[in-house]
Amino acid sequence: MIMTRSMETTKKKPKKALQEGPITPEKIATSIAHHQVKTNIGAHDIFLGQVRADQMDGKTVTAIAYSAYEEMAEEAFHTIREAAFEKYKLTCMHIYHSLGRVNAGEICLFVFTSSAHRKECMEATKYIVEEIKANVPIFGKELFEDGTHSWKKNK
Amino acid sequence: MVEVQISYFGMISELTEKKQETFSCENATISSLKKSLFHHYPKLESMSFAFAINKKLVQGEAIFTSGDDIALLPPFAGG
Repeated sequence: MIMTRSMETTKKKPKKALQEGPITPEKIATSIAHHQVKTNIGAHDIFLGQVRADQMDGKTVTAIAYSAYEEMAEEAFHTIREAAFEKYKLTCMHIYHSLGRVNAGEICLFVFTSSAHRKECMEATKYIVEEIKANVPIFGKELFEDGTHSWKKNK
Repeated sequence: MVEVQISYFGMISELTEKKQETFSCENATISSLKKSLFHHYPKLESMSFAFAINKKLVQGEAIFTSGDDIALLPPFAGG
């Protein structure tokens, strides 16, 4: 009963996934803490995307500046959420992605799924992350230490 | 001639030096629009991008009507 209610709440009021700046470790910790009252959950799975200090032509990436076609991106996140709830027996799901500057070493993507047993949330997280990479119109400008930049492309 | 509102993102907006503009093309098809865009921004031809009409990705044969939101989307880099 509690599970159905929380699923409906998530479906009816999709929260915004895009947020300004990096995702802080505090936000992640708080998010975990909020689930302690949901005792029908037996497993959580978390994916964190972190900005890499890639080397390109002898230059190092210091940060990525994210931008997005925001309305379309939020719709795409919504579609991914609905599809994941359809495919996997999840208790709840949270997705956050950064906009703006995120320094190397900081977190830019936070996917958090919960279910009664481990298999469902682990498979769901993988599915959600792959869908985000392929279908959400987010763009990344890799900033180098010398002030130049290049545009990131998902592989 | 059809007039449409186009939005540019990421490296495409860097090339066009604007985020939005009103554009005229002969027919209300993506292939016709593409031709006009390439004429206007020759460098666009060597770039990889997709079109969205009203926030949905579309292919070259797609048609639109005036008032639709058209967007040029470079490769996605989320995650």
